[in-house]
Amino acid sequence: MKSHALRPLFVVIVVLVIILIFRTLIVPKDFGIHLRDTPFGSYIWGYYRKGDEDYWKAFKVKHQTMNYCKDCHSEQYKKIINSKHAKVQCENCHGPAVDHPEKPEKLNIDRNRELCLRCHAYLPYRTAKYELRGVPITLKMQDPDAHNTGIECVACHSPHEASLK
Amino acid sequence: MQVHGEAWTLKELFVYPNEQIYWSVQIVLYPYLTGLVAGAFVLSSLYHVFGREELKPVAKFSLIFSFVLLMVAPMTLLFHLQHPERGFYIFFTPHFTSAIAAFGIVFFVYTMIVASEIWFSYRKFIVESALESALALGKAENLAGRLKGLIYRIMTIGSYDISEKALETDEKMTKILAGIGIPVACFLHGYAGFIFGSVKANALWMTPLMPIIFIMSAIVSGIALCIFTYILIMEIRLVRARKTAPPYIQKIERETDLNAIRTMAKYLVFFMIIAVTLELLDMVFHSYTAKKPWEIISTVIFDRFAFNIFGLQYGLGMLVPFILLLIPRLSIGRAFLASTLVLIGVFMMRWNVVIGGQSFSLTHAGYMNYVLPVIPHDIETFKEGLFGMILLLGSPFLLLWVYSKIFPLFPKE
Amino acid sequence: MNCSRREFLESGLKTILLAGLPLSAFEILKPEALASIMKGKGRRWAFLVDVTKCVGCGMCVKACKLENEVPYDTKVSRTWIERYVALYDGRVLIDSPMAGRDGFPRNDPQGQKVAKEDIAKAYFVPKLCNLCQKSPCVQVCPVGASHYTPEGIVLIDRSWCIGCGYCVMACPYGTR
Repeated sequence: MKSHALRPLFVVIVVLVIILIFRTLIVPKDFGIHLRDTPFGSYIWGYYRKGDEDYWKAFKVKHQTMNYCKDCHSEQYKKIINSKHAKVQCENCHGPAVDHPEKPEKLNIDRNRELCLRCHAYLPYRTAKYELRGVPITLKMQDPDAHNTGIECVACHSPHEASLK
Repeated sequence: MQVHGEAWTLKELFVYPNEQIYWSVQIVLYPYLTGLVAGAFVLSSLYHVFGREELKPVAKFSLIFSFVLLMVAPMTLLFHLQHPERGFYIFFTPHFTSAIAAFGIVFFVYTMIVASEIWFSYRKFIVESALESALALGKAENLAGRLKGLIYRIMTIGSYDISEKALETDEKMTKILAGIGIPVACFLHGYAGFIFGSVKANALWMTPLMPIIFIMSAIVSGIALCIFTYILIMEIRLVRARKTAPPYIQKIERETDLNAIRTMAKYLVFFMIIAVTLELLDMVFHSYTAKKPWEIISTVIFDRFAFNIFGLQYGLGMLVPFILLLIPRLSIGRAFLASTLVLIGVFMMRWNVVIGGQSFSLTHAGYMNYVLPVIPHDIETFKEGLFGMILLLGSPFLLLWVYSKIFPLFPKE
Repeated sequence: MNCSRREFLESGLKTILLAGLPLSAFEILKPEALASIMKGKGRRWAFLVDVTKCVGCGMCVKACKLENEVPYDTKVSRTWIERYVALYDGRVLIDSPMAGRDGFPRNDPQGQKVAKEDIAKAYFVPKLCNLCQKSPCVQVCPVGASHYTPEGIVLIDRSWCIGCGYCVMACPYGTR
């Protein structure tokens, strides 16, 4: 029995060894079980390539929030935070800052009616009352098909002051 | 730009924006093909392990066919993956808490077992062919013949011992491997059932019965496929023999072994009863325990998929062949028809599980309809469309023909 | 009942102390919390949304797509907004056109005109990835491409994902 019965087993072992050699060549060194000192540290939840965390940390942040704008555009910033639009972020209308003023040098302002209508179009079920600085205020809503159709909202309204021009 | 699945998903009522029929026809084919693998292997083991002598004529053939199907089954996964070039990561960094990761181990072990079993059961033939080609080496021979000789010589793995004792060892090893192979084959298919049965998010799939249901219908489809292909090959041989026969031979009989077919049919009926029982039990269980999702599941089962499930899967695919097989004095034609219907029925069962399970939304307030792409307009609709399906359903037969050039499927004693 | 003044004060004080001990103090008895304290670095970030304040403007969906470079014109989004309009006749109209990316500027749930008088109740529901603590999508990833970070964020390794879609199937919230 010993003569040839084990030969297929040798073939299997050779194939396995080849797979394992390829595995060490291809799988990155930082692939394994991580997060051992957190609640996620186990084979079930923490088996991954550690370098992926760095990939996502290096992933470019595009929205920089108001704090990024307030130093250079202090005048506009002061206006808006004292208005009823205090909670509306600059980038909602001006677009993501990314690396402004280097890249892009100029931001594209969205002056489309549809942008304003996201909040101000009249819907019977849109929450109309909310709170700003502890004071209840009303969300003004208009019927988009009746209220000065065809004209950009910013022709009459100032978004930075949340009022008529 | 379209995301994966949008090309063939039609949404109705309210469906979450990210939901698509993500697992399409290739994932229907995968359990279908692995099921055929397991079924064909179990059939050959009925002879090798349990000594059903009646099945001897088809034992080797079903073993080879099982191996051929095993080579095609992962192709369906490669056709489905969005990154097929990374498919081998599943061998390299398996995350075993995922049912899919078991694929690497099970597939590897099973391939090795079947390959070894084929090697042991064909070893005498391999060695003889290798010796023959070695003798003929000096003489003028065409390229194909030489290549074939080379293949045989490689396949001997350096062992030319075909003494009485060595052949006895072969037989023993075949039996052992066939014995080990049964649980592994069941595991290969059981894990495919587990992939679906363990998805907690899907109310139709979530059931511990799923692996067993899959195994039983796998054996059913595997036996049916072996009957189907066996009859088909024998008919082709008959036609060919009649064409090439010299004129003085009056009549050529078909070599089909009716006794073997009748035995296979008996096993087919036996496993069909178990499969149907389990499937119906599962449905009753769902209707009783999963009350909340049952509202939407029942509309899928009894309305949207009613024709698929009760017309094709159970009616045409189970009841009709059941009657055909149970009528006494089973003929070759009747067996062929019945096995074809069973094959369709089991395919529909996979379809109803995979597509049916995705045809209702997680919202329980909407549906998704799967529209099989017929005319491909990009690589995706080719891969996961009618053509990809036909390609992968046809390739086992093509590959079987290639293998039959190396291994005789029905060797004469 | 015989009870001296001293005893009464003593037990009374004890009761007050025990009652004053906030229930949250027992939080550390949970295995996860205990582990995070003992092993240190137990910071886990959370993301809160006050759904009652949502007016359905859809800016979060737009921002999410721009921020994470999700193809802008696809219908999928990991952050999306649903609109529920329940009518007096019992029907509930739910929709989320383009995942709510462009807000809901018209009163047309599921493309139907509904009169104000017919609406019993209506609201917006913003939805996001829940970053589950024992997330099924991480559990079922066959190659370890879905994973946690030390802070408890669920990430996908783009260079390692094979695209099998098992996480899509496993997510009970339809987020993946």
